[in-house]
Amino acid sequence: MMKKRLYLLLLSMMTVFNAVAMSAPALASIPQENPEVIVPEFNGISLYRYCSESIDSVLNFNPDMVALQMGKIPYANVPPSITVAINDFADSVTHLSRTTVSIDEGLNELRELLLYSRLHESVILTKEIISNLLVADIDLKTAERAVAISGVTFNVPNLPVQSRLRMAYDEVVRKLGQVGELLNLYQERLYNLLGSSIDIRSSELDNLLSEVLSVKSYIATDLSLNVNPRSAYVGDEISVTGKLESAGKPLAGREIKILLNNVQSAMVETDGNGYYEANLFVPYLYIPELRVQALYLPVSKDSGVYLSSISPEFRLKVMYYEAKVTIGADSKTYPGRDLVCSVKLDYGSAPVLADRKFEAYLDGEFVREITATEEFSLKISLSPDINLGEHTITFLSSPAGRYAPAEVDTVINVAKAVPVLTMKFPTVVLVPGQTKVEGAIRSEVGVLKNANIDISLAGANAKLNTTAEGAFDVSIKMRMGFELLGSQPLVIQISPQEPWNDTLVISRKVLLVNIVNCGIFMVVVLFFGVFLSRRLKGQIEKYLKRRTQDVVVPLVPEDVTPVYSMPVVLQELSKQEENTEPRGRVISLYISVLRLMQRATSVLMKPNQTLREFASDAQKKLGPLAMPFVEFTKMVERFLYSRHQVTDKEIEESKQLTAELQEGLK
Amino acid sequence: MKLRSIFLIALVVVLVASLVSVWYTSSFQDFMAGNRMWNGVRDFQRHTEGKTIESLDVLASPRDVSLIVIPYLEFADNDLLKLKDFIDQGGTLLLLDDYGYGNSILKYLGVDVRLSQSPLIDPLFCYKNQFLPKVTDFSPSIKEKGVRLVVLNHATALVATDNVEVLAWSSPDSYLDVNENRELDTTEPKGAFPIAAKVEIGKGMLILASDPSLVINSMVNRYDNFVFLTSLIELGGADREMLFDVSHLTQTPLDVSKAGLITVRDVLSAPYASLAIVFVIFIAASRFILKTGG
Repeated sequence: MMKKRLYLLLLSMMTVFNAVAMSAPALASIPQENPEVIVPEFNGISLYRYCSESIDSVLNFNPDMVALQMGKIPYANVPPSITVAINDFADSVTHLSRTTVSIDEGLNELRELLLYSRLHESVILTKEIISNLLVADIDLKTAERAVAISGVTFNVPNLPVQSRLRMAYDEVVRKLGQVGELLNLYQERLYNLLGSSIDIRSSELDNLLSEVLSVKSYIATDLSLNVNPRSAYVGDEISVTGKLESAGKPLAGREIKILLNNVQSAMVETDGNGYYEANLFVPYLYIPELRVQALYLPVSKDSGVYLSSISPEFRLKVMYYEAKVTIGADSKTYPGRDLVCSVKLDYGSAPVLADRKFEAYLDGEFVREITATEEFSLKISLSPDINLGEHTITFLSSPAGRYAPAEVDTVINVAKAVPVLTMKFPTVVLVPGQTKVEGAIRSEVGVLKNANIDISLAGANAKLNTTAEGAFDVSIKMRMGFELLGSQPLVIQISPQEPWNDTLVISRKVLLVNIVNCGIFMVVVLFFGVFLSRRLKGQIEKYLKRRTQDVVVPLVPEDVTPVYSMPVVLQELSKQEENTEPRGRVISLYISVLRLMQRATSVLMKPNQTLREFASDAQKKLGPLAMPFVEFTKMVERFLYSRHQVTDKEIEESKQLTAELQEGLK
Repeated sequence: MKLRSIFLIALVVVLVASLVSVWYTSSFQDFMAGNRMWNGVRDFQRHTEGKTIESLDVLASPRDVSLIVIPYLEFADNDLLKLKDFIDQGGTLLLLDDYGYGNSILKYLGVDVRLSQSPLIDPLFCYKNQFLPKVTDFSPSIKEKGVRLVVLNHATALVATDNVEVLAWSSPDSYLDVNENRELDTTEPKGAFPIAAKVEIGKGMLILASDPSLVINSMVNRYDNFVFLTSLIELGGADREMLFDVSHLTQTPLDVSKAGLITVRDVLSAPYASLAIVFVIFIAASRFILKTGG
């Protein structure tokens, strides 16, 4: 029963305690959800709207915007079944946007070519335009197919026409149709330029085009080109000559354009014999060669009569002086310190340029200028506040005549130097007392002068500075605390004065022994363990002895001795036994029963045990005799501990009880 | 056995069992370091070796410290002052908030940028649903760290960002669901929206991100979220000590109990307390031995 109660109590207390300790607060939920358990949701409307916007960009000839928009498509949240289709859509629309721009530009260019009767180039360009038209058609069909696949996944065909998803889908389809119309328009423009429609998918396209274009009766021209010299330094003058002919006859008074790398550099007129001559300077471009061409474009009365002609390409070798520049700098540098860069120029066989100017830049910002010839060193002071990490040093020299510009850069790593501490300190520290700590600090840059040092150990603290040699020496006074003994961290914090040195915090374990506290502790242990326990033992013995003699019950009359412990009871009972008075006779009978009881039950009275306690112990083995024995015990207690006078009736009762018990114990 | 003894034994057993339960039971509250579940920040703290702080009083050496704050409880004036001092003296504050008290901090710090506190929704560029927008547009400083894709979780957007350096934007397809009807209405602003920004204040730096869920266990390792977070933290300087403020987060009684237990453990492990415990045990043992007459 008692156990059950205990378990019940335990259970209920634990329930209450844990419910209180672990309950969730009644607060508003945090706005977030577990991504692992989210059921995916796909938004077709957004997808189709986004596709529509991209097609708008195609129609607006903005291929960069289309590339940007479609470049994000792989991140779109779409059903896995249409991922491939949507990626195809993105690729095809991106390609389509560039192709339409190319077609548009090609058609404009073709118009110009035909205007100047450039038959051969027109054929090449026409083929390119036709190729682009075919590719664009394929891209468009791919995009349309991708949209159709996605439509099936989103069940669009079965949706009412007015549904937002259906409308968004229809919008994409409509805009793709517009792109198709644009391509058709391009095809018509092409036919218009060619003068007749042709089968652009024909395998005989080359012949077909030549045929269509040759219908026009142009007279071919021929333009020759000579360049002298064949190689020249930048800035030198060159002579360009040639002759314009048509069917072996010179064409006089025609304008000839001289092109350098496709850019018109000069224009001259042919003489009476069809010859032309132009003198021009090689530009300061410092590139190894230039493409030189002469171009004749029929204008005014020649237009529609002669075909334009362009001379063969001449590659002029361009010469200039170039210096190979090398730079040397420490791969690791420090804030607040000078960075020394050594720069060397190697001109090879070229003449050395004296007093050349160089500009130094740190991360693109001008630092300083230096004039040097072949080799120089430059100090660059790094700011103490410069960000740690990689920085770029660049040296630039502007071009000067035949000398090409020179540029060199290198990456430096700005970092703080890590201080290294060598230190002597005791591994065992006694408290109270003094602890000597000495050492020296240096880094890869040098010793740390006048660095602030903060040493702390178990509450004791010392602040000092290093000497000019980076050394330090200090005695730390260990003050009294409450610690006994144990490992304590000796923390040393070093704050350098120099911006290039890093701060350092190190910690070392030392064994701290507080001899005073340890002594006190030992005394306490001895006191409690030896002296006090002995004393307590002695007191307990005295107490037990006193308990056998003490008078306990103040309520009983003074002439009645209060009896509590068994020895006292027995002593008292023995006295009463000899007494012939009624009280003594009853007690005498009880003693006889008591002895009989101890023998019969093997339950012995313990020291300090009362009669009632003994009766309680013995009754478990007495069975039906328990009741008379307890009754007899209570009667005797009443005679012993009160002023009650024994009556004859009570004597008789005691006799009967004695007889009953004796009989029962036989 | 007397009733008093029963009660005493029960109390001791319950106390010990409960303390053990509290110590070993994982927290389930959002953003708690001890929470191993999806909404805790245990993984983030382990990866960054960040230290949890129960109070802003412990902020020291701001130049070497990056502090992460999720202000889901209102900041007292003295805490706001501590934050401002922290930044002024060179500390880096990473403020992660969406619908909490971030705006009151921003106002106190004197910056114009604010948290919209309207849900940022991206129905197309999202992870699983529109409340988890994907972010793919970053400033060069973030891009160069290798961040390509970040996923938010019930985020908001930053507004009034004229005087800050924006670090990341949501997609142009995103919008702010002002009336929270989960639909794009004609009056609702459409993306792209800034979702992370930085601003220098005094000697320090405030870095702001409009979604604290980036740090929870189920999000931190998703795509480039962790690299993004570390990139944000490193904007204030590399190799800084990272502190995570939990004093402005709602805590369950379990979290409070755990924090209390940790405090008690720390106190008891001090030399004076250890000595006292030894003394008490000694006295109790002596009494017991003497009582039993041994």
